[in-house]
Amino acid sequence: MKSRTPLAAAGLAAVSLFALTACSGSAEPAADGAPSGNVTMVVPMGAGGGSDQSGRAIASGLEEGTGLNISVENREGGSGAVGYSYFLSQNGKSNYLLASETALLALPVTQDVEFTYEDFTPIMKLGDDYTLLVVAPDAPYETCSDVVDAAKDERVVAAVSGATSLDEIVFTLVESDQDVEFDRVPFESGSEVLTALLGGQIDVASLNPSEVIAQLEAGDLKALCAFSEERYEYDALSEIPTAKEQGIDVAFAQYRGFIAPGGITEDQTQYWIEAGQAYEKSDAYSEYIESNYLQANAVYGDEFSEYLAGNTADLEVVFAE
Amino acid sequence: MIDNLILGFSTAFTAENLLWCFIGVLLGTVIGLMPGLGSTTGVAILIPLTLTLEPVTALIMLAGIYYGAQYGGTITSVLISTPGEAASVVTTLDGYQMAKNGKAGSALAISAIGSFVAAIISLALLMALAPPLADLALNFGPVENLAIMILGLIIVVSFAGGALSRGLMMAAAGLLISTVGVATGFSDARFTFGNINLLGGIPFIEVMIGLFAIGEVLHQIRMGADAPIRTRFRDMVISRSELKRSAGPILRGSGIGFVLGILPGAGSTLASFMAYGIEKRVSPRKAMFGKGAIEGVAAPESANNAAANANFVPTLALGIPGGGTTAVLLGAFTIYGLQPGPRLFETQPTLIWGLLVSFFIGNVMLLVLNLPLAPVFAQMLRIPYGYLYPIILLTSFVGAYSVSNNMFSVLLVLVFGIIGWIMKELDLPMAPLVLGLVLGPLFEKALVQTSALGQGSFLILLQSPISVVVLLFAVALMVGPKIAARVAVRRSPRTARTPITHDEREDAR
Amino acid sequence: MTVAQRGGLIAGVVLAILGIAAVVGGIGYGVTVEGGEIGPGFLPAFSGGLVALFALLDLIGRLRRRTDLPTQAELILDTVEPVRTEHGGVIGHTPGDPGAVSTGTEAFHVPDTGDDLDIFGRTQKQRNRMLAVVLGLVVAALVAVQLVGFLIAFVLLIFVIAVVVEGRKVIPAAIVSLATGAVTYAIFVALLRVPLPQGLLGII
Repeated sequence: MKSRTPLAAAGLAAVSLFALTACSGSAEPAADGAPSGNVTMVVPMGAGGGSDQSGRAIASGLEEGTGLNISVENREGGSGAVGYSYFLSQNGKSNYLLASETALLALPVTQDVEFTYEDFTPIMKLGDDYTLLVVAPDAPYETCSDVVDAAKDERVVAAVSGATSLDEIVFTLVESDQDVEFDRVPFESGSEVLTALLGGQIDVASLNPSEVIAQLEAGDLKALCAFSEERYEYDALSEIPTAKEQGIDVAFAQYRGFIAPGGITEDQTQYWIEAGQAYEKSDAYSEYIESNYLQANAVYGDEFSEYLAGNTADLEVVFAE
Repeated sequence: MIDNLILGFSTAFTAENLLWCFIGVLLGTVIGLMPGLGSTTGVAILIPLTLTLEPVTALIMLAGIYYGAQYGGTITSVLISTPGEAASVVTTLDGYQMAKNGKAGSALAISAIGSFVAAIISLALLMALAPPLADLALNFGPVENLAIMILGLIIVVSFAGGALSRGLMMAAAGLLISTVGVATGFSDARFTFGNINLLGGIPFIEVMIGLFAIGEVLHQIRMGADAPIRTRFRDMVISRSELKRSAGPILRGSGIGFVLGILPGAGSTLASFMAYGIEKRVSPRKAMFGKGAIEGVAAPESANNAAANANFVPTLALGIPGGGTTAVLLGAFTIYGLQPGPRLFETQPTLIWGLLVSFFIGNVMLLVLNLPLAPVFAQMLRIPYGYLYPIILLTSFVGAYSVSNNMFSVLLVLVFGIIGWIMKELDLPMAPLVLGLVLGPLFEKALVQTSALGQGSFLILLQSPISVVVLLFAVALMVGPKIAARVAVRRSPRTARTPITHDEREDAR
Repeated sequence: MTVAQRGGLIAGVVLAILGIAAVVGGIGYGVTVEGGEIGPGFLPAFSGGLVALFALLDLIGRLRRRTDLPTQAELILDTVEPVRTEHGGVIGHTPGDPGAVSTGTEAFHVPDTGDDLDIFGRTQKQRNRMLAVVLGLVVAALVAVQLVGFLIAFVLLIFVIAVVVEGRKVIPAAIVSLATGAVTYAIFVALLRVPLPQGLLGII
């Protein structure tokens, strides 16, 4: 993040150049890696969810920077498997992008799908979304260690929003770090988990800040710790200690970003990376990051691939049974 | 309260907001008319159009699309037996028969009136009681939801148009189809045969379009064309006696719809099915159900509209979506920089009350649009069937495609179209299958969650007072009519064939 | 035995087999998981079992019942209603289709070999052939989507069905199919921005 300025400036210049070319209306494939024709941003989840929102935000941000026409296409099903498989079949087409998150890594580890992240071209990771451990305001816990202690000799019911979801990963990591066990009740989305927590049917949940910020502000829930490397910088969240401060060595992020199909040329990869770098400089980017309480942490190309490799290794440990 | 209403009216009654509200309900009606395109897809797709508007104006328009689609979905259910959404599947049962009897105008009018009354009742309740009701609804967890699912599945029994066992068989088949794909809480792919498109399950929209729209087209081709329905204009206008008969069903439907709509998860489909099932139990004209009873249109239409509005109770009061479309609307809130949550009523009074008042205005607009247009829409049936059915084929396939952007959906529609045609030929009822399919994932989720909460034991069902009450009601529904019928049969062996009243004769004409 | 009766028997057998297969599959997926909690195989096994059970009951009913009178159980459960004709009279159930209570106005199932004519004077045999042709054309249209794109394929489908199958005049049929295509384009492509497949032709 420190040395990005000259590079990004170059990127911006390059992008505005491309934008000019694109505006001139030539449909010829540009030699410099710019896609020809319209671009499609595939969202492997249904309309309205977090992936959909990030896909639409990225698409309009890139549209602004590149002057391309980017339309969003939802391809939902199988917790993302349908969308990623469809994307696999777009191999070599640089006018396709996909709004990606941790499902890209969790699916190959847990299910019989035909792809791994290595089949695609990682372009840009926008930022990280961690989870907060939240409980009812009158719950007898003040810290995450209290919850862990309670789980040692009584039943603590934890909600998870899917068999391969972020909260499942986090709870599994806590379990192996602290040698305790939580009783799981499966749900299908963060808002379902939230409902059950507010209704008192479950004891603890691990949710993204954007999912619970309103309840935290209204005092309907309290947050015990954040499973992040460092405390949040947002005012509303800066008071929440990290799990590491409380002696639980667990931090796991869900990334949000976008990828291109595999088999595209160096130039084409570079084009999208530069478009992403221009997007990172824009107001639209910081607006998206802030309204969703992400930790801004953009990485590109090879660095993104390394991140994905490291994360896959972590997940294999989590889901090795 | 009064202050809030005044604030709401002053917000909603600007020329710009009225205009966008109108555009919203109009677009919603068009979207509802398209098979497969429901309010969820419609709102999600049209959000980008509203980005340049003020947040309150944008939300007024999106909400207009939401309930406009509810009205529009009815029109095709009645006229060509093609429900736009799962919630209007039940409407086809009697609505389509009414259309075949030349009563399409009445069916459309009563559904507009029923939807309007339901909307007004539920909106009044929503305005007055949203926060306490939302808190009450939170008491419905997995255990209580399971009890409601059981009640819902038992009501299926009353749908068995023919032999009881066939209705149950089709409901079970619906449940079975719903198990394709990955279950809540597990990662095993079931019955997918390696097909990646099946991982997410067989979506009910495709099944519904196939069974109802395509199945009916194929059936009609084989049955031969009827003469186009010619009716006098007088017959297209709803009669006083029809209005009087519908009053009870509309009120009961609104009540059922509102209660189920508040609960997160249960939804308007179950509400419309339950309203129909209950009406069929209590109506003095049971025998007419399935053959064009106006009560069978009034009740489910009121129920699904009441549920659609009641969905806003948890959405606005807690920031938790009550259904698919309200989830998308909540997403829109964040796009406009608003934080949905329990404090919306306090932090955004102008927005919330403006929006609520616009719901009233939108429903008035829809009533004014739909009542005079009912006979006009009914004229659609004058299109020669030789043109109508290929057009139905086109819109069905395009509608299915646009839900998932996937040709696989189109294939599914074709396959279920052929299955639907076979079912029609063999007199196997289709509505229980759709209900089984819609309820299946909810039922399974509630089962898995309840069993996890009870650590494998279902005794937990009896520990919740709410679930005990719901289950007792289910038992009463199952056993009650049996006892009543046994008493009645003993008294007079001919009760099953009730004499025909003047009204029925009028209906059947 | 009529075709409808034979069809009913075949459907019963097919459903029973499917149900039993689902039970076997469900047991394979695991009806319960550790601790006796519900597993991913429970609902498949449960619903499959019900399908098989009711299909077998239906089969037995079809084979045993020669008359179409409702059983006592059905009367008690109030699931059978007498069919009314359009004049408000009460008729019995359709002969030859035991146990079936038809819905609504199609009180009578048309016998497959009958020579009743529809308003265009087409016989049942002709109409059966129409059905096959329409199904064939739909499949052809789906294949054509890959070549000429979704809209063109289906506009052609409307035109061909109207002219070839339904014997409509060419010019009105062309106008109707093009107008439908235009309205569909306006709603789905222009307004809703659905990316309809353009096929190899790639025009619209």
